[in-house]
Amino acid sequence: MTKRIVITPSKIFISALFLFLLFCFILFLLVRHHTFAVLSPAGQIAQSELNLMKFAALLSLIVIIPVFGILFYVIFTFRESKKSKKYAPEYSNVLLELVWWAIPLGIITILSIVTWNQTHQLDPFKSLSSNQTHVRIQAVAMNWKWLFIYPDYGIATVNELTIPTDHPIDFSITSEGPMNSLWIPQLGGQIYAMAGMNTELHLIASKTGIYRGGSANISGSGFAGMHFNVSAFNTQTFSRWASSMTFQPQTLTKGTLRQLAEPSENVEPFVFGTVENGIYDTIVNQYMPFQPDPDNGKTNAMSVHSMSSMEGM
Amino acid sequence: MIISLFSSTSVPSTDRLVLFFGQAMVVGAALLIALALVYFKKVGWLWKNWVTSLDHKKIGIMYLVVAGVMLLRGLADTVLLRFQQATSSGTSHGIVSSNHYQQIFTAHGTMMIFFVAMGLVFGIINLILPLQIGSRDVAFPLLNNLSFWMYAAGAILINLSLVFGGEFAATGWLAYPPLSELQFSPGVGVDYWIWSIQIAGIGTLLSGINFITTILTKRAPGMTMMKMPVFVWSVLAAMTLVAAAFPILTVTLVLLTLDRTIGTHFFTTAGGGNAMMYVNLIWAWGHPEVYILILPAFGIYSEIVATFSRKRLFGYASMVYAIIAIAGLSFLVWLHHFFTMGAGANVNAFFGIMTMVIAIPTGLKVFNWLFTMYRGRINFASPMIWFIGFVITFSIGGAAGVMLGVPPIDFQLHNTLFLVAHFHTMIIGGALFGYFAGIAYWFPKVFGFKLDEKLGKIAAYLWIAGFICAFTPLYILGLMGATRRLDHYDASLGWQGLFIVAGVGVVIIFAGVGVQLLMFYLSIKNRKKNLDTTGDPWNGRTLEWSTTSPAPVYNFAIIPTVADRDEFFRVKQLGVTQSKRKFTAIVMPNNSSFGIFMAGWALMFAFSVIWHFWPTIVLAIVGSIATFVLRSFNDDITHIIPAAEIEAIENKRVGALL
Repeated sequence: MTKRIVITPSKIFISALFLFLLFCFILFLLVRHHTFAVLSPAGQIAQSELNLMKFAALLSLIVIIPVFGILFYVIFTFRESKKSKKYAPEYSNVLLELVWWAIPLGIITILSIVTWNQTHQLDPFKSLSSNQTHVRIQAVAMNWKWLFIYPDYGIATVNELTIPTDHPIDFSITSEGPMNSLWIPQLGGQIYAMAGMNTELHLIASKTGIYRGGSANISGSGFAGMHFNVSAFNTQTFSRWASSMTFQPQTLTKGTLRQLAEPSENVEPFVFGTVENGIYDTIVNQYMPFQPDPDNGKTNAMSVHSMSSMEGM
Repeated sequence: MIISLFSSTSVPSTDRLVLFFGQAMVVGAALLIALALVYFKKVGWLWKNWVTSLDHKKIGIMYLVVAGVMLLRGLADTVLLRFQQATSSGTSHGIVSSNHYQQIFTAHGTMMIFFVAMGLVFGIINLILPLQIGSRDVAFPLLNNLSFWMYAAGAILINLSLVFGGEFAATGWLAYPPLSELQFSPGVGVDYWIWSIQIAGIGTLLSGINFITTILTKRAPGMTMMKMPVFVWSVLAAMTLVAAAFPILTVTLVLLTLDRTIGTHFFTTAGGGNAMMYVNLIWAWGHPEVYILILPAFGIYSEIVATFSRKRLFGYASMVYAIIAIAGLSFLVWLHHFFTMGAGANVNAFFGIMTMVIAIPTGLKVFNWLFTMYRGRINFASPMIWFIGFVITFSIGGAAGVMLGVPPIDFQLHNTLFLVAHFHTMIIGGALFGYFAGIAYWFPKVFGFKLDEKLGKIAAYLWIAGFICAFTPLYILGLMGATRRLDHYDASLGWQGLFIVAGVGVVIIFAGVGVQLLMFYLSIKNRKKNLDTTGDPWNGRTLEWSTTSPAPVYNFAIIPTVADRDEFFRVKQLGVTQSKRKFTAIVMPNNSSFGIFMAGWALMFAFSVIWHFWPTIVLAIVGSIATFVLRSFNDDITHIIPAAEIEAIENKRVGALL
């Protein structure tokens, strides 16, 4: 004679809970030696964003915990088989309803105020205040690699980025082709790179190290290979690095830019020791219907004329 | 020759193999169905009883069948995606090339949203909405049939993209330009994507108008707006969103089409185009679309929780206002899909706060459902298991959503797997679970027998477990810095184990789908055992349960008069006994082949435009005008079911309640 196994709700609940804990343990074993980039900030912006994330998560627990509590309470108390004496088929309670409106309303009000302040505080376009000099970097997303131009040093790197710690980094970002997104999670959030547009991102590293960066927006077949390492050195090492790079033989000019922009995948990092002035502006402005004439600074009269005659049509 | 089965010769061998299987599957399935129909002499039956039928219940079933097939198709993509990401680490590059991988996830997203979720939504609405408002049909039955065939034509076209041309769009499911422009995507994949969605989208828009009109004009006498079941409210809100949002999609796709076919510069990089405009427009449609999917699911949960708790819905008025608030707010949040575009802090903060405000009515709804269960007598039938799965996953996903709604947090989580996990939680745990619950709940009303409850519950448990197993690792991966849509990553990052766990989750979900298929098979096979002879198998509360199962073609022999929100429950409590009823003749619409012909022309038009083949474009235009004119000269569009015949049908009803 075999014993019939009776499935009760509590058995389902306990086995589900056990399986879930086991599952969490497996996940823990899988991740314990690895970096949680978003949760391991190496700079002020990433740190503030993480703090905000923790705050929002805690705030949402004010809703999640009661929801789970009430859910399991009603499941176990009011199942049909229990024949609860409290059964009230027409039950309604306006006061409780008001409470349900009020709790989320309260949480969202608090979070909204914080959001308004923090969105302004952590606006990626906002320059960071610091007594250290700012380092300008012009980032160009290409098919499928990143070009980083250091206009103040006359050098450029491809698929690698070197920055000094404690100096605010002012990124100008554009794209030569499809849209990408520049993201270095340990330093802070991302901003899109768009053709014909200039976006800005201001980050800072507070400790030396190597951080991973990449593109967060699909841009075609080589997209997965658009990641790079960010080396954060102290000021001295960075200066030494920058001056040593100027001896690199490769040169980036408006002429060789086309060649670089040709599609290529999984490009190994390399450096341009010399960079022609104004390349970044050329990339951003290449789609403008008429370009300023470099000789006299005036716009091309023919273009203006043809534009206005178009409007008259 | 433009059309060739293997146009791309440069693809790697595994890709070609996958492609070949895809093509063989599509062609094979089509041939098999055609052969089976001819062999069993069912072509005429199919044409007369289904294809040309204007009966909303049959149209609903056809929607569900197509959506079910597309669900299997979309899930097959999932296997490839998960297998690629679980294996493509370090020196291994997985089984497909990056371009093919991108085609697969684009196909997955497109199929799941436009042809699975939308198909299930419209299937369920068609099945039950007219019954719930005590109506004999929708306001425009012919339009309803056309809408379905436009949807089906879109589904056919998207599958044709594998057969003719051999490639899918590789741009992501929303095809952002400039990537989706000719310059970067010169193949026909994006054109197929545009036209499938365009055709299906027009069908959706027509459906939206149809259901708004149905709800506003076809309700049973006495059913005031505030006496409508919450499901009806949710459909009204969702269809209003359809009517307001789908024209945006249509126009956006037209502009992209013009860019790609006649060389305009709306969204191109050169020539003054502005890709950011596309991103704004597509999300101005895209965010309401999310609520088009989830609001009907909310409606379904509201019906189910009340019925299975044997209790009136807690806070009806609050629920209605919450639905209206969500629908209204859904038009004010589209920018949260691209905070990272770099709009100013004021703009970002505004849209961030609007996003959070949506959480207020949504949170309220969850509490109201829980308090509907409170002091009830809960029967844990399979729809309730789906509901519990929904509450658990949806709370977590909602919290993740509130976090993503804060712009500075979004900068860190945008386009990561955290985001992917979030929206899958909302669409699977929120919407899909609701549709499954709704199908289990209303199945007997349409087919006359219940689905196997035991298998239904096992399927629900497997889906919930599989879902948690598949998506928890993605939340974690997102926090580890894993962006979405990667076909390869460095081994040193330590992501592989989590991707493998996620893959195991997909296997569990597949087991759930297998059990569901088994459930349908066994339930149909043993239907005699599960017959619903009462018309009211769940002790229901609303009007659809007052007629027989399956509901007769005219739904109600006598249109009921409504005095309460839970009208049928009220009648049952009063214990009204069947009195001698007087039947009158009923006018019903005739079958029509207009819908399938119009959709056929649309399909021909789209296919010809994709391949730039002008003769058939002209033919399709002429054909559709001719079909339209022919239909408008057809005066024989209704037939009358005489009172005697209705009496005969009604007297045969088994255990009829009223």
